[in-house]
Amino acid sequence: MKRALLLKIHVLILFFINIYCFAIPQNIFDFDNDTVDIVKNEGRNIGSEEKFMSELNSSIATVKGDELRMHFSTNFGNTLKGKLAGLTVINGEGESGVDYPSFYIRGISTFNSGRSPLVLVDGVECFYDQLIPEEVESVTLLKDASATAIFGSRGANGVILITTKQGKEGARKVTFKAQYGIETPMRLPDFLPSYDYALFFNEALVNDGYEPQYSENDLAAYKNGSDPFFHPNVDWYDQTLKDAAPISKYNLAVSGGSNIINYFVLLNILNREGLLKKTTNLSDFSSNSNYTRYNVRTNINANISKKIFVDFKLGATITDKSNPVDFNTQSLFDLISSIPPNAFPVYNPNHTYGGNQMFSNPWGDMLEKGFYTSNTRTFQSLLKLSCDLDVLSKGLSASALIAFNDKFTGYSSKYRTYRRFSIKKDEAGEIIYIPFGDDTSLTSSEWVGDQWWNFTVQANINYKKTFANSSFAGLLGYNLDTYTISGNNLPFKHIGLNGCFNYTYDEKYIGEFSFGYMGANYYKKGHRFGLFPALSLGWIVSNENFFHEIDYLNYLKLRISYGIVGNDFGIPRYMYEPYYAYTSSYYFGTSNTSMSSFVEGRLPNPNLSWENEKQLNFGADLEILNNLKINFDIFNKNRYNILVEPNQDVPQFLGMTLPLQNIGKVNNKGFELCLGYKKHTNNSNLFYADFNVGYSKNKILYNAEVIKPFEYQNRSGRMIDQPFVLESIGFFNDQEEINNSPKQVFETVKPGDIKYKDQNNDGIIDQNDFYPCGFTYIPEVNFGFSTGFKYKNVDFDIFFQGALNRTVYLSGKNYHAFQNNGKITGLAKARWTPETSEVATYPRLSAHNNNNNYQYSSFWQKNGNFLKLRDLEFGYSLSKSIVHKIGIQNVRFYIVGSNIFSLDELKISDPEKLSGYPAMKSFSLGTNIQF
Amino acid sequence: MKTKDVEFIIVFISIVWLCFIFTTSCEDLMGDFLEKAPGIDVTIDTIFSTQRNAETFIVGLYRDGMHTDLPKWDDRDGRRDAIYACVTDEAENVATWYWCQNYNRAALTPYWNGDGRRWWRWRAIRYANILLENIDKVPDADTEFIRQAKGQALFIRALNYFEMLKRYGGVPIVKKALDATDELKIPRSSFGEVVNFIVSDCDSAALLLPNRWPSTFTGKATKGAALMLKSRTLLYAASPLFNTNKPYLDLPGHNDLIGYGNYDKIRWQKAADAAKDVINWAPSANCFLIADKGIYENYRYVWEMPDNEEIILSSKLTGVDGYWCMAFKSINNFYLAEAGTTVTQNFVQKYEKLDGTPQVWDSEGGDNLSEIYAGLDPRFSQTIAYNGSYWNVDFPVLNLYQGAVAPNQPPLLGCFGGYWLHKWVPRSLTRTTPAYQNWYLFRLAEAYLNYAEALNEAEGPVLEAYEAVNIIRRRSGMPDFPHGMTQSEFREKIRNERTIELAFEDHRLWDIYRWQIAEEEGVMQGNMWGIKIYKQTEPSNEFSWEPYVFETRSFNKAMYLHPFLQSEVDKGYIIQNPGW
Repeated sequence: MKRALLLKIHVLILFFINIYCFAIPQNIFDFDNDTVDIVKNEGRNIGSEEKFMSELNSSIATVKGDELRMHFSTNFGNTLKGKLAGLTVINGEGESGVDYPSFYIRGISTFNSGRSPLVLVDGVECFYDQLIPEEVESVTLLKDASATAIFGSRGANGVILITTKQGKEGARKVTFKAQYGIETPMRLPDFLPSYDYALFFNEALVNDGYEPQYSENDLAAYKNGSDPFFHPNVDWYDQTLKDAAPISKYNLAVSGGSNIINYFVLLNILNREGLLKKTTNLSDFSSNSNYTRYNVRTNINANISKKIFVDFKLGATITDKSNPVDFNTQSLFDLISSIPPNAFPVYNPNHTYGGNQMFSNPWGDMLEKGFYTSNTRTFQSLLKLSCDLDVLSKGLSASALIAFNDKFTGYSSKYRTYRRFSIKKDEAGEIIYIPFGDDTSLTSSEWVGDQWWNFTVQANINYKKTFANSSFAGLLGYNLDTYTISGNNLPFKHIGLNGCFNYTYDEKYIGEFSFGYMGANYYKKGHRFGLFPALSLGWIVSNENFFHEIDYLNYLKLRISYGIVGNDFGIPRYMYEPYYAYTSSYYFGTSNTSMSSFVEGRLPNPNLSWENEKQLNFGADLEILNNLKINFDIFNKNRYNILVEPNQDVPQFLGMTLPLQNIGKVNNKGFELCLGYKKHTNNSNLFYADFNVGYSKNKILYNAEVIKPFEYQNRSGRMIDQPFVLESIGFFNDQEEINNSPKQVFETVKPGDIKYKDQNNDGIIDQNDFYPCGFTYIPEVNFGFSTGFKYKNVDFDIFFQGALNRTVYLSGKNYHAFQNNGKITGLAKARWTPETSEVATYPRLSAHNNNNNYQYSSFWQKNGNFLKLRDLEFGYSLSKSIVHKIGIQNVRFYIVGSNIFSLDELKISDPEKLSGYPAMKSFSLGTNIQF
Repeated sequence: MKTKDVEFIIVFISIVWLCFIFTTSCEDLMGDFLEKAPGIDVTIDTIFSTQRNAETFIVGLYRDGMHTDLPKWDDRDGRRDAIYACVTDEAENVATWYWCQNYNRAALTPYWNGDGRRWWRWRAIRYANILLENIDKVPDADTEFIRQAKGQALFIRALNYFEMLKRYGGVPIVKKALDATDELKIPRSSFGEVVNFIVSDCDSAALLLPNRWPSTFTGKATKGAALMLKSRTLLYAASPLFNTNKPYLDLPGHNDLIGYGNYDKIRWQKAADAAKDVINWAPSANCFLIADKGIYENYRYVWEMPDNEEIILSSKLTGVDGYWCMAFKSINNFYLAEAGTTVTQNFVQKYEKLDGTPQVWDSEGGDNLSEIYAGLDPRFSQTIAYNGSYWNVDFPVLNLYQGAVAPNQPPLLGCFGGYWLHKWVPRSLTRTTPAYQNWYLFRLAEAYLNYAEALNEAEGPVLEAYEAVNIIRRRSGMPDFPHGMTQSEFREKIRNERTIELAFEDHRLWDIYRWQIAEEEGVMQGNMWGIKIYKQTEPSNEFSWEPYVFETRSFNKAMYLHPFLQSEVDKGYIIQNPGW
């Protein structure tokens, strides 16, 4: 704790020193603005909106950091949902600090685990979860081979470039922003209270052939609540969770610059309490749930001399998270979604905690289990020197960059157990208390969790040359990086060259060749390097003479790119060496002692390599009537060299895990479309509307899978992660129907059970009847729509995001009634009974884990499509004439909401968060003051 | 030409040239950076560099090479939830969706062949081969260690070949640790060749292995284990399924893969000799039949007390575990009210009365259940959990009669047979006390039964055959076999004796196969019976019973040998067994 505090003070001091520094006199050197062009961090002319349409043949998408500001989230990744055509963002855990959304660019192109894109912050591989929109200038998606070839064996899944803000030449700008609001769950599970629970449990027991457990008196007691100790009715969600939790964000940014030095300095404090009730004032052994993060950034660029420029970027965050029960809330949510409402009261008559042998008391856990804090620190640093080499040749420049990033999480807990009592009455009517667990004193423990750091060196030579009616731009780069992740001692290393040569003729024809030559330490010497070339051609049709006739079409460009890019995410390393591992053991001896043993690892494959992908992309960029911009891309990606075990060929008697071979193949095709409309009317009034959609469809072409007895069981020919389920065809209505139907082997079937389709017509429903059905959790279509206006002092923005071709699967205690002695949800009210057989939407109730009804089946698959109102913001700026009088540039008040509603078929829970910590919506009030 | 253009050309050429330089020699220039740092990796050389490491390697040989019929939560056993008894007339698994039902309704296929260890066996054989090829290299190993290591490797290899032989018949013989680059299309060897290979490994192992290990190494293969394996192999090989000129199904041109193709009485003689070797060996290793605990405890002691003197080799894959572990759960888990093994009435009817005559069970039922139970072979109450029996301190009286669902009673639902299995769940295992249980591969009693059976086939019911089986019966308080039986009468009796004595020890399925009796009514085909038990009205303490059919099973002749997996057959080196 103390260490964290010291660090915070330290960072604050650093912050103020920075502000002081920038107050010193400026205008010493002549400053070349071009050198700070953000794109040069990547050594390429990409990411800059102005140049986007004319000079590039690549398929990319960009969003400004400012457009992400509305969405309140503790993870930067969540703010990107729907903002970039071709990017899919899948929700993480939802709870602050453990929420890690995952990214997919243009869907998925490999059936192995390495599906995520390469994410670079300021051109360097880096963690990005902790960033806030206010420090981000732009986020750019690189999608096709011509854009990603320079990233060599890491580019095939696409690349996300995050660029942090730079100061701009001009007066110092100080912006202060304060935002405070509340968040509430979007949807909570609908568990039934004790009376309904008991009633349905009785029905379930009778269905299973047992006697009912609850008598009429019991039911009456549950109904009228007259006996809260022996007939309790506890809503554990209510007991442990708040209705609403506060969120807040304070942000101070200072930026400005002269022709010699530009700076951007930011301090941000973000706080999110989380849904758990406050407990510290009720107990000596509990900490409130809380999450606070401090972000600090100083980005400076300056001229050292007329020819030498320096970029210096520092970013740091400190995160403190505390919780009762555990480091995160997962176990608590498990528990409160498991305990039947009538299991035991929160408190017994003598004010001890209720409990039983199966479940501990969630409220007791929150109050008595001790303190859990975790502390995360991240540090990013980057230094880049650029040098103008006009003396050698006009247009020649060079740059060198080193960067160091670090992340560390420490965990500290003070843990104890406590005593609960189950109560019952003896013959005399006295209450007997049966204890579970013991009251212990606090035990403390501390350990280091994640620790990772990386180090990057880059060097670039740029050359630009303009001729009479053509121009040439070239770049040659060198890149080296090492990435160390704790627990995986040997660092991940990449080294290589990249280059890009662009030739533009008559502002009409653009040809570009780019390449990456990259090596990684994953493979055997001699197999470590690969060359990844890409070629692209562009034709700006609208610059042709014949085109000038069409006056509504301001701009038209057609482009095509083709290239080979690699992917080494998820590739196991050092598979070229045979090795043995220690493993679990055998129990020799009469005393049954365990001895460890060696296990031979997978057979080596000296030729092992990365995945490759041939990417073809057609694109068109249009501008119509000066206001409407259209970008369209269509792509075809053929991934090959995917690692698989050659199960089809090698006999089992080899007795070994077979070597991985680069033989798998996947095809992925789709398109993206962006429409942007922007209309400025007089002065600063503005109306805009943006729409983007991305579609991708993949198919496994070859995966060396073991031959299955029926064709429909094969994975090849289908989409990656295709769910295979039993196909539900309604419920059995009576015994006769059961007798006349194929035998379902999972459990003795009764009327009201789910009836499955016999896919192979063998009269038996078994493992062979699992059939491909539905989509995956990752949607095939993503779209976003935003619109807004600015009129005089008022501004308004609204943003929708949606996903299509997506299937979710309902399983576990939130949906399956009485599973693992758990609860029952409202869903089950529509259960099958002989009377309701016509309208039932839920199988007959069963008091145990029903192995027929809870099979992986299409019954539990639900349409996962959704349309969400992600953000809504309404702002009002005070009249400038008033605020200027008190020395303020601008004052704006705003109200903003995130995840306001969701349109979907699921209704009972959020389609992006099916269980555990719920998806949240938030409303905040804020003010923005600019000095 | 303008100077600017010249400049441009020079720069361009230099860039291209630089590219060329870098791309041709890049890997050398930058290669050092990518070299793997020295690590703590273990290679085959590390393992055979010290005796200590080699010893650790041997542990792995057992870990992958030993099987257990008691399910464990581990990927080395593909069927994790039930014992093999549930596919025979011994028992039924309550969870009727488990794999066992694929046998019971004759639904084995080349895609699901019921053999969860098919891959692990090859791995164990590979380990054995690696050890045999490398153990001589260990510099600091003494000769005794090397001899014993080789003996263990040979034993494990033989054991895993035997496990394949009994399932598939002849299989490919792999005598070396293969590389992916070796010629891998090794075809199946004939049944006889595999038998000889196993016997030869057992003979070699028996010469190398000690009679006993120090108590810290109990669980390692001994000379007795090698002899026992040889005995079982030869007994199986001499049995009707294989020792015949008329195989169960014809495999044109390849009948040598599924049996000998002729009948030879000598094979029974060899089996008898091999069993006799075990019996002769036993005293030298202080291995004897447990007979000093009383007739109602001797038999139970053998399965309840790990590492007792009757055990020749047990599988030590698991340590101390609570009631929730797979092994105990698969037998019976009254605490979690989960799965379990219910014994069939078909099996209970095999228990003789105390006087050695069969117990006749009226097909209409009766009203004297407790009386019948009290008069059965003492091994009945030491094997089976029946109505009124003691389970442990938590369940002192098991009520299995209809309507007896009081608190703390085991569930009646799923108790198809009217019995639960008790064997393998020690009484010391309670809600709060964990226990450990070793499944055993070989115990001495089997040698006597092997001997009696083989001798009867080779020479007829000679005195020595009587003597061998009577030793087993006497220690459980059962009278001797009546004298003067014919060979086939003796055969029926010894088969029943074997079924009772070795019940639920993963013998029954393979005995049924090798005797070719699966198609007999109520064995693996036909009706499986249970009884419904009713408590009589007070003051009577008796229970009535009523037999009923709870399942009708099917059998397919092809199942006498398991199918090879279709995915293996498709690789083109395997000839599939007949009927698949």
